Amino acid sequence: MQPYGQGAAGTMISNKLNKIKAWADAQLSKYFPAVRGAVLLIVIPAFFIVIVYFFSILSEIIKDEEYRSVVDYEARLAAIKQDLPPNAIVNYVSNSKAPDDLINAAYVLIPVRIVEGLKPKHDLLVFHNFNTAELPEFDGYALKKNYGNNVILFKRNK
Amino acid sequence: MYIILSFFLLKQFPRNYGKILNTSLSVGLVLGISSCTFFLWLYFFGFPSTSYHVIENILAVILIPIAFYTSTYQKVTGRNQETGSDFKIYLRVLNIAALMIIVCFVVAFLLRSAINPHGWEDAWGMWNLKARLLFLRGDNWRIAFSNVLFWTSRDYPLLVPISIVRIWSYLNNDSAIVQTIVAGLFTFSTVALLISSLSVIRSRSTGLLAGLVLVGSRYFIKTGAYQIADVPLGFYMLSTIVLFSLKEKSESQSRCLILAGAMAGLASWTKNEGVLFLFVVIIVRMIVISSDRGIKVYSKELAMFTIGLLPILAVLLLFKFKIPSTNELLTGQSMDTVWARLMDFTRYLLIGKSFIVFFYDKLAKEWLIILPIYFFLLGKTKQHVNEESIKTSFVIVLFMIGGYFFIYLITPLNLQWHIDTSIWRLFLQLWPTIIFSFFLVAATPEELFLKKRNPAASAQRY
Repeated sequence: MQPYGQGAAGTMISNKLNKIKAWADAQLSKYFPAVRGAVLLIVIPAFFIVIVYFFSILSEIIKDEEYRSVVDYEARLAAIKQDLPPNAIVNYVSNSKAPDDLINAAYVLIPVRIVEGLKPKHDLLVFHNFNTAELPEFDGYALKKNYGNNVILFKRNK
Repeated sequence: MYIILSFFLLKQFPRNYGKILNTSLSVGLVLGISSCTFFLWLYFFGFPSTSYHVIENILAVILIPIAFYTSTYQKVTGRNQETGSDFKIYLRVLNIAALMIIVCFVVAFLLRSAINPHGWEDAWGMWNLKARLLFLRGDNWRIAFSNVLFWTSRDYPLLVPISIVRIWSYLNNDSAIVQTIVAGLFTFSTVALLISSLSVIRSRSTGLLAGLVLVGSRYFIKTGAYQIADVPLGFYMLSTIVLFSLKEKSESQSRCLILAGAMAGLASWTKNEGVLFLFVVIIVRMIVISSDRGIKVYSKELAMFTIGLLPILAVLLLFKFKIPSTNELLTGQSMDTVWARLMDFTRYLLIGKSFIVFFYDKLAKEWLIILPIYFFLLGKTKQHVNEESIKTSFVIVLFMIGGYFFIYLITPLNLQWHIDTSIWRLFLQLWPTIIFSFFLVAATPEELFLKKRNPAASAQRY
């Protein structure tokens, strides 16, 4: 049961809404005659998807949380790359647990080729340190240069 | 090279959207063909240097006037109907909306490329890595296929890496911006090709709407800037199917067929999935054409198609047979192991479920709801759209999905891992073609507009 008065107010609001809807419909019809529904069906989602993606990239930039591991590798290994003979094959040892560690290093150090681990032994060894406080030792290798950014070059002495 | 082939193509199709269509097709054709010539030089004479650049430019200078004088604008029959000035206002609004969305798409691509200049991990782990090795190792380029780089799918063809190396060879440095430019050319050409081809074949508004569906697909937005070869492969697949559709409407059918052959060949020179695509195209056209018009007509078409295909196929075969490398899907396979996998029905369930879940949930969630509603509102077209084109595009998509399914069935790799790491790229390759096929069949907004404005005239028109 609706109390008297509330029904009339409801009808009035409903009429007003219908008028607004009809006015909006007429305005839209000027620009999208007959086919607007179908067209807007595609335009509106496309607009929002692209805009949301656009802002998600902006937020990545602002928060500095973007996925840029190879860019970081490039910065870290830039100095050692200068000291490696261009056509050399070098051993590469790292304590990173990232699955793409070897691939990142291989890409960044080109034209030098890297062999993961200590076998077979080559003249130079690149150690990429992510979490060890002490300087490691490798049998048959002596320290050649510590680049100070957790990248260390060893030279074979046996 | 780019200029010559642009000229050669530029007058193929009508003037309006034809220029965008010609330019987008020529971008792919030029990058593809030049990667073939560069590879041939690399293989036979060592790393291309000044002499290669000089010869390439002399050829360009000689061929430009020839291409200019031998090309003429083609007429396309059965194009979209006149709708009057009312519709033009609507079209203008749609143009502006599409332009705004595409500008946002381009800016998003540039931002993503700026923060990830080397692309995504498959890019620097495989495509860009090969490009760098080929460029920085010079005459020792074969090292790019050595066992040390076991993760790089060494038997994958070289269109993308060599397109990058060729530009680096002109610049004489391995600037990362070139990788972004090549990725951008393929990404934007795919969008431009979809819009312009449907504008020419169907109607302008249809072309724009199809373009918006593509740029509004989340995976496509991301992957464009990833610099991986799946977007270029998707471009070549779409180009081949577009050219088959344009052939039915163009005066110069043989030209379209030669170009379709070249594009299908370039698909196979981009990725191994492109080889599957090439086989599928030949089989599907045989089924479609032979059943409608007989084997003789198909043989003639195949002859033209082969003219475009053969030179690129020769380069691919040279690469496959002369550069020693192994295919990770074939190595260690025997009839017994393949048979055992084919008999394992849990694999069918896992692959089928992954296909449905991925396609619905990840690639095209919104569009798989929206496009059926769009089709419900507009209906099937009553315009004359060549049945063979429609059959070709749909059956090719189905056969490709079947082919991918079969490859997963027999893969020696861990099935779940293989699906998880590759399924989104496989569907992405087909997505532009799926959108093209959909809009080939759905009625155009122009049709609906005419029908609502004047039902009687509309009925007469069709």
